[in-house]
Amino acid sequence: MFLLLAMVVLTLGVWAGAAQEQNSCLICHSEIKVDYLESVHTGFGVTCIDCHGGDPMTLEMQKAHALEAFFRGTPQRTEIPELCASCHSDPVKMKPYGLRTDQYAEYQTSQHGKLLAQGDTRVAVCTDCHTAHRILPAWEPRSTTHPENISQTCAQCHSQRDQSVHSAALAQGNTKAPTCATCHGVHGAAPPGVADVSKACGMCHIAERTHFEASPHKKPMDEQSIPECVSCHGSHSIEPPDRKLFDMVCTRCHSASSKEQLVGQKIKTLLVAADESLREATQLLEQAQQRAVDVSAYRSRLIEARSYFLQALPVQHSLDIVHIEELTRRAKSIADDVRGGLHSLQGVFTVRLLGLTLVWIFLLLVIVVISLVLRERQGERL
Amino acid sequence: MNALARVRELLRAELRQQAPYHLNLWHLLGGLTLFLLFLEITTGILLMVYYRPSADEAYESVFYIINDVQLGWLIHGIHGWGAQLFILLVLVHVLRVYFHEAYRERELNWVIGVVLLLVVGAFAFTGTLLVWDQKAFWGIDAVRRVIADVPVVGKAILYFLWGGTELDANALLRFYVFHVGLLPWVAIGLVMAHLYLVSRQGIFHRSGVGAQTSGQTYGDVALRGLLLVVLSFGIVLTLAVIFPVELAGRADPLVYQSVKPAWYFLPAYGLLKLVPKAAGVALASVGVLGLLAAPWLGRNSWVAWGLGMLGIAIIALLAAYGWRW
Amino acid sequence: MSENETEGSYERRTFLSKLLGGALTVGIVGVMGAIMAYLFPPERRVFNPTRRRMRVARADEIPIGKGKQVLFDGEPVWVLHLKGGWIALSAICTHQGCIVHWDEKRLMLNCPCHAGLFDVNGNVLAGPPRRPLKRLRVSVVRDEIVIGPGEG
Repeated sequence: MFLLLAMVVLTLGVWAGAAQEQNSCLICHSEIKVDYLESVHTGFGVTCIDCHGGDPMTLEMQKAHALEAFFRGTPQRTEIPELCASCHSDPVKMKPYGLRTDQYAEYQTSQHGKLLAQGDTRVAVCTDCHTAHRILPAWEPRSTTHPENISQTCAQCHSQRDQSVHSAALAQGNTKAPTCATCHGVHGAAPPGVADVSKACGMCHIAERTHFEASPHKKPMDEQSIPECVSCHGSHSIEPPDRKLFDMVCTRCHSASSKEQLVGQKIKTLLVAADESLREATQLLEQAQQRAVDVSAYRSRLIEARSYFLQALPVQHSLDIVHIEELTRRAKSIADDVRGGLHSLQGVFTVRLLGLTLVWIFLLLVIVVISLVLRERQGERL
Repeated sequence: MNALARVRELLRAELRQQAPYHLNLWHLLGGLTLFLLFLEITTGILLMVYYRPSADEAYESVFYIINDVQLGWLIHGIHGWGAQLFILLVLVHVLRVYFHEAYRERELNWVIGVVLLLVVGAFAFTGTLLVWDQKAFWGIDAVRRVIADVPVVGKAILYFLWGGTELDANALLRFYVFHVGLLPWVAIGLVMAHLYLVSRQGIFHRSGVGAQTSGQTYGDVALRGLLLVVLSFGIVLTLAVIFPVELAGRADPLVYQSVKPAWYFLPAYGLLKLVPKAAGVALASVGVLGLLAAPWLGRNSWVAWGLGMLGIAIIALLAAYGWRW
Repeated sequence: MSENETEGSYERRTFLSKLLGGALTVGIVGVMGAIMAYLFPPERRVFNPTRRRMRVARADEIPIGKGKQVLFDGEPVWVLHLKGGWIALSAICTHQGCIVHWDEKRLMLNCPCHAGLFDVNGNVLAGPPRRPLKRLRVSVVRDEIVIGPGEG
C-alpha cells in the first residue's frame, strides 16, 4: 500500500516537473526521451535547447525549429568539444558541482584533439565516449566511461583491445586495475612516448620502476629509444610475469651465450629456488593443518618468508644480483627451515609406533599367560 | 576386611560354577561389547575434561586435545576407533543371536537388544557432530535436510533434536547433552536389564538345557573373555596410533562440503538416495519395526533364515548403492 | 599321578596365577599412569584465540610516534603509539600478504613489495591494495598495552 502511494507521488512529481519545464522537444523526439531522462544533465537543469537551441515552449514544428529561436540542430563534430567546453571549462559554472574544468585544455593536447584541429573529423569527440544524450557519471556501472566499459568504448574505433592481465583483473572486480585511459590519458589521450613508458607503468608499479631506473638497462635503452617496460612485458597483451620470460626476452638483445644472458639465468635460478621452496613449505603446512597438527608457529615464519620473496620480485628489475640473492636467500632459508620443522613433526609418529610396539609386546605376554593358565586349568580337570 | 573377603569368596564360588558345555567364543561377543562400552565411557569422561561444547570453541578444543594435551590424541583416537569396533561387534552380536535363533522364548530381551542397537546408533550420530569440523557439520546437516522434508512430524523432530531448524550452536549443545547426558543412562539401564534377563533366562541352547557336565567353569569363560578384551584393546590401540583422527577444518556453515556418511549409516543413505525422502524414512521405520518383531515373524526356523538372508541382502545392496553414489 | 607331579602342577598353577595377576596389575597401573598424564594440565592453557589477549609492552616503553611489531596468533601486528592514542593493525598487506613497515617520519605504513601505502587507521592511501589493513582491539590496562582480536 505504502509502495503504491510512493509510486503515485513519484509519478505525480515527475509529471509536475516535466510540466513545469515545458520541454516540448521530448514530445516529438520521444526516441531520445529515455536516454535524456537517465542522463546526469537532466537532474541539473541542462535541457535540449542548451545544446540544440530552438523553442521548447511550442508544439508547432516550424516555431520550435525556427532559426530566430537560435535553433542549431545536431552540432557539427568539429563544434562539439567547444560546445561542451562552454560550460565545462567555466570554473564559475562548474564550481557548485565540484567538477574539474581542464578537460577541454587536455583534449586539445590529445591526439584526438590535435587531429580534429587539423580538420580530421574521424577522431573521437566528447560524445563518442560520453554519448550524446545518456551522459552518466563515470562511477555508474552502466556508464560508457566506467572502468569496466572503457575498453569497449575505445574499441569502437581502436582495434587494440586490452587482453592483458590488467583486463583480467578488472573483470574480476578489481576496480584499481588499469584501463586504456590509465596509461593513455583520459581527455588528453595519446600513446605514451618511448621515454614515458616506465612512468606510465610506474604509476602503479612503483617499486619495479624505482629498481629499473637503477639498473644498467636504463641508460642504453633510453639512448637507443627502446621502450622500457613493454620491451619485455608487452603492452596490450601483458601476461602475468613468469619465469619463462628469462628464457624468451633476454636473447632478443643479448646473445645466448653472453654474460648478460648468464646474469638473467642466475636471477631466474635464485627466484625459482626460493619460489619452489616456499611452495613446498606452504603445501606441507596445509597438509599438516588438514591432519589437525598445530602449525601456528610455522605460519608466521612462512608469512615472513613470503614477504622476502615478494620483495625480491621488484628488485630483480635492478639486476642487482647481490640484493636479489640476499632476499631470496632469506626467503629460502626460512622456507627450508619451516619444511624441516614440519617434517620433524612427522617424527612424532615414529615415537608413537615405538610405544605401540612396546604395548603390544606386553599385551602378547598377557595373552600368552592367559592361555597358559587356561591350558593348565583344562589339564587339571582331565 | 571381612566384607572384602566375603565378596571375594562369593566371586570365587560364582566362577567355580559349571558353565554350559556349548558356551563358545560366539557367546562372548555380547560380553566383549560390554568391555567396549566401558572403554567408551571411560575415554568419554576423559575427553569431557577438555572438550567445550560451544560452536565457538568445540573445534578448537578438539584441536587442543589432539595437539596439546598429553596422550590426548590417543584418548580421542581410542574413543573414535573404539566406537567403530563397538558398532561392528554389536551388529555381529545381533546377527549371531538371530541366526542362532537365540531370541526364542527371550522375546523381551531381543526387543531390549534392538533398542540398544538404536541407542548405539544414536551415540554414533550425536558423537560425530561434537568435533564440529566440516565433515561432521555437513554430514549432520544432510540429515537435517532429510528430516525437514518428513511430512507433519519433520519440523517437530527437528525442534526436539536440533533445537531449531538450523544446525547451529544450539544444536551442538543439544547433541552434546544427548551424547553425554542422556544416552549413557539409557544405555546403562538397558544393558543392565539385558544382562539381568540373560542371567535369569540362561544362555539359550537349541537342544534344551545342556545338562551334561561341560568340564568348563565360568572362571574359564571369564579368562577367555579377558583374552578377547586384551586383544580388542590392542586392536583399538593400534588403529588409534596408525590411523590418527583427522580433522577436516573448522565447520563453516557457508562453505558446503559433500560428505559420505559413516559405513554404518550407508544403508539408510542408499535408501534415501533410491526413493523419495519421505518414503525412505517410512521404509527405514518399517525395517526397524520388522527387526523389533523378528521373534514373532521368525517362529518358523525356515522363515527366520529366509527373512534374515533377505534382510541382509537388502541392507548390503542398499549400502553398496549408498557407497557407489 | 604321583604326589610329586601334583605338587609341581600346583606350584606351576599358583605361579601362573600370580604372573597373570601381576601382569594385569602392571597393565592397570600403566593405564592409570596414562590417564594421569592426560589429566595433567598442558602448557598451553588457553587455546582459543577469540578469547585471548596479549600484553605488548609497558605503555612508557613505546614513545609517541613509535611502533612495535609483535606476533599475535601467528600473524605480525603493528602496535602504534600516536598522539591520539594507541592503534593495533595487522602488519599483513591486503594486496599480496607482505609484511608492512612503519614509517615514523611520514606516519604511514608502507609495503616493501608493491609500494602500497596505508594511513594509521589502516586505510589505503596509494598503491595496489584495495582493502584496509585489519584492525585489532588495543587498550591500555593499567600501565600495559594489551591487544586482542576483534574490531579495534
